[in-house]
Amino acid sequence: MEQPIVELQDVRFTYPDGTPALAGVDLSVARGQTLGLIGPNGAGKSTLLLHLNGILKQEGSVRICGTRVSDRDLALIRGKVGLVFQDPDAQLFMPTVFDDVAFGPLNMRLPGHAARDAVIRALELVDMLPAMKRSSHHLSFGEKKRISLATVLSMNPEILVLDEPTSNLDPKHRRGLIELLKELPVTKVIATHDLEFVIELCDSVAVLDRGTIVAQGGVAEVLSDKRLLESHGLEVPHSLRKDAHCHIPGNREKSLHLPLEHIQ
Amino acid sequence: MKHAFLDEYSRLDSILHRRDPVAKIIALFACIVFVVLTPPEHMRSFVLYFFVLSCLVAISRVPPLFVMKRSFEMMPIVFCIALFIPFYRSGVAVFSLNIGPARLAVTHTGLLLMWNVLVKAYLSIVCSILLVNTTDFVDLLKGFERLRMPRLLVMIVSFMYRYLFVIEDELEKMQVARASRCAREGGWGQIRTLANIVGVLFIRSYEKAETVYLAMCCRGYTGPVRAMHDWRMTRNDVYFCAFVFIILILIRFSGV
Repeated sequence: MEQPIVELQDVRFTYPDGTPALAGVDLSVARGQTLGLIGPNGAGKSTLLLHLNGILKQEGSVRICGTRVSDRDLALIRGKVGLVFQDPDAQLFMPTVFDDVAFGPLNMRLPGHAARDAVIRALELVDMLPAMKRSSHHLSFGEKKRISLATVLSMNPEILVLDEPTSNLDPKHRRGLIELLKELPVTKVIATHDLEFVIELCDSVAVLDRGTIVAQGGVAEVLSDKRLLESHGLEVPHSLRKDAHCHIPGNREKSLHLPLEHIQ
Repeated sequence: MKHAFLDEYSRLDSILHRRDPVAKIIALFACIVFVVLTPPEHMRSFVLYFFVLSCLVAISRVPPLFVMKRSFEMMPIVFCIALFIPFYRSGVAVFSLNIGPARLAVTHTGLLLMWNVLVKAYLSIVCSILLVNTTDFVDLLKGFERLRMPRLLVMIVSFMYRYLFVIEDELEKMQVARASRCAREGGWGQIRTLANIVGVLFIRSYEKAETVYLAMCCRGYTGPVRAMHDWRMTRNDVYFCAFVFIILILIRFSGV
């Protein structure tokens, strides 16, 4: 069997103030797979994502493409793992969109023309090439989110790690993001509360609560387990509910339309 | 949120806007140096400098009223400093003020020095307004970088430019939230709330800075900042610099 591209063994992390965030996480993702990471607020999802490229590390082992994440290999690991933060204002820190998307490739020591090509390719992918010379501050939230994605796509990563990619996105931009991610042939790890998004995009799902993985498996299998989800602050998504095709309860009774005889 | 600009008119199109930022930095910095090195008695030289700068403003298509407004916004700071100069110079007293037992004498050399500070500061301010409003802020930073300004300093200013408005938006949101919850608060209560808002703003900026640093590390940042430049000095840029230099030298050494 092929070695998993992401492999975590007994990863533990405690914040300096003593708050335990991860209490022994074991997780593996096969190459080309898309894993949805779900869990209640404060479960440790974002902390876990920061372990995947060595930003945070304390105890346990994290392996990316078979290489153990250590200080010595950080440059290599960060070239393979592209992490997009939830807040695009944190992800986009350079004065123009071009500089932001070029930041990663230039740090990977790509020569000027290759870096420029990578920037143009990444911006074309997210359909934001015309905004190349603009300042990030002057973009809409949806545009910022797409450019945040371009900032890591320009590094040509093998693993794409996204933290809440659909938060605050309107339906049109959310749909655009789903279509874009579907087309990207890389391994993806996505932390989100948007369970419908997980259903559409992910091959498997892991539930994280209080710093441990409490369940991992196929999307339909995990997301239709009402008892499991409710005991961890989640709920079965609407499209997987058995009563999903029923009318919205009470709609008819609460109708404000008066019967015809009343009008007459 | 509203889109604010530091460099409001930098996206216009004029001969001055099309010049390489490096050429503009050199030319306008030379203007400042020449203005500063002109002796205070050379009144006509200052008038000519002002005339040259006015011509540049006209060429740049930046509204003269805007330049005037901006320059007068900055003058009070200079004025605060210059106000005390006439009292600190020894020499022939023009007039004196008696405040109780103290006698403050205003001297002729003191007044001349005050005029000197005011006029030189004003002309330098006009130069900087012209530079900032004819060059996109990002290009300006890259220009400084090409002139070997330390990258770390450039980076600090570029972060300031990127996040100034983010913080402003944040402040605005908190002000709206405050106003939504207290209709009648005034006086001391308002000041106390404002102090809390400032505190929260500081903590949020600090946290944002930490996340930004993490985001930089995620994309391979290890210390040195690497960036790409699109500008290159053309023959016209060299002519522009040479032209400004010749005018400045003529004004300074023509004996007026």
